[in-house]
Amino acid sequence: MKLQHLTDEQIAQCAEALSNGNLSILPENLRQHIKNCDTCAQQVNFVTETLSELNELEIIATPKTKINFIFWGSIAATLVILIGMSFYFNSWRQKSQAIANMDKNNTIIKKVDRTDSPKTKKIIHNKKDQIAAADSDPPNFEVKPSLKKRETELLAYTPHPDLEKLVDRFSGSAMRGNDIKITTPILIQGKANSIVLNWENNAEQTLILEFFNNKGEKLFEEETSQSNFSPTKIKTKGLYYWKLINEDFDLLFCGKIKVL
Amino acid sequence: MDLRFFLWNFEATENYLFMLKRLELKKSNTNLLSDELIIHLTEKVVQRYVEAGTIPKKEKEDVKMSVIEKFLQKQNSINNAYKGDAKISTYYVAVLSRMTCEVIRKELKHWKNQNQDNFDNEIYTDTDLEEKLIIKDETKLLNRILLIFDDEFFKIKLFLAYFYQLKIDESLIKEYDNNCKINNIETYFSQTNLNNKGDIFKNLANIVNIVENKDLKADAIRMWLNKCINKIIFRLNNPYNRANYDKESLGILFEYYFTNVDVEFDKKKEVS
Repeated sequence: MKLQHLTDEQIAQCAEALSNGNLSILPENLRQHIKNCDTCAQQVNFVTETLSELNELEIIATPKTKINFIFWGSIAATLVILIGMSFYFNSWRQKSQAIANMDKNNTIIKKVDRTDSPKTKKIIHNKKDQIAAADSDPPNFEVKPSLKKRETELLAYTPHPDLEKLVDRFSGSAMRGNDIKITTPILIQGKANSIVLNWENNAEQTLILEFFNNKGEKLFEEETSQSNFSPTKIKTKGLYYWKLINEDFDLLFCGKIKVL
Repeated sequence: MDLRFFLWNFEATENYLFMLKRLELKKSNTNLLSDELIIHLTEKVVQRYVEAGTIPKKEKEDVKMSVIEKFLQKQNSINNAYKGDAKISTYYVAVLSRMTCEVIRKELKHWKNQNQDNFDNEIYTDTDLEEKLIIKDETKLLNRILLIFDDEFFKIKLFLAYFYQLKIDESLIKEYDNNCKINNIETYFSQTNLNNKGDIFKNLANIVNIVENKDLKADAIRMWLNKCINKIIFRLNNPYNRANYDKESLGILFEYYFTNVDVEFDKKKEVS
């Protein structure tokens, strides 16, 4: 009967045991086989030698560590979910509190009392009917200019984080380009159509102006070789950002515009 | 409810873990190690055969590419066959080693026919190992070969030391006769009353009969020891005639091995 040689994995198993100097961890059949089979013994020796030269990398965990990984992974996932939920509830609570505060300040709730109207006067005398009247004809409520519009107005001035960072870079008048000097402040505010952006452009270089809203969306782009520009296209109140770029597409400046 | 208890019970079965591994393997058709690591492992495996003189140096790249190609063609079946009983890198080394042997078997005759002289010279001129390193490697290999004899490790080591008439340490004797069945066993291993090799085997037979409770003659011991020596020589000389040991050169190597006991070589003793 032809002797069946060890599989690659069995050889690997034997090689690991041999490199640890402890063959007793191997099953009896493997130990006996490599004792008697020269071919497999040579393979085992070769793999052991090669292993001793290599830094071993273990990718797949053993069953025990797999269990530990799943256990600790689930604990970590649960904690993350709990923390995430608490942040969400916290921010929801803060938001609703802010809305409630706005409610107090901005809305007028007006109750219209209908009991004096001619229609209901007839049935007031009977107590039973009083109740029935109240039930069948509930009072009206009037609400003043909505919270939504106010919210929209506030949102129009919310700064954009990335563009704010860009503006901060130029806040210490960190200018690029030798011939252009910005004379407008980093934040310019005023009514629409009254805003003018100024800079020194003695060499009359062609410059590109880009305008963005506070959501980071590009609104429009203009090319000029003048020393000033008035963004008349911006008519709505809100916070805007503008970039000054030269012909080589170097960013020379980034500033903010608040239209009041 | 204790989550840990739940997880242990839910996942503790071997079948479940086995299926989990198979599912992980089937999720992707990519290898369990990155391609770079596989190439690195192949390089190491092929380099060992080059250093052993089995593969001519100029054929190294071709062999490496052939092995990688073979591996990639069979990567799915290789990954599917992996059960997790050994580390993945060890498994891959075993696979790559087998594939390299297949390539060598196919090409060896062709290499030898092509350029006989150059092939032989490369063995000696292209390795820069000093003599000490070679001896160290060979003694490590001898230790591994002896370890494979498993429960007979100490017996073979002791008997070989006696056969090659080396000075034997008491501790080695005690490893063999751990039940101390013989009083003053050291005297049995004394070299003073030996007239010829026959006396060696007579003494060894007496020792075996007492320690192992058997009834063997000197000839049986001689045949057994010769069989062990031949096996050791065969494993030292292969694969592909990596060396040309005989009984005499084995004796020299064994002497180096026996007299220069390293911490590594004592692993077996520490573990057992």
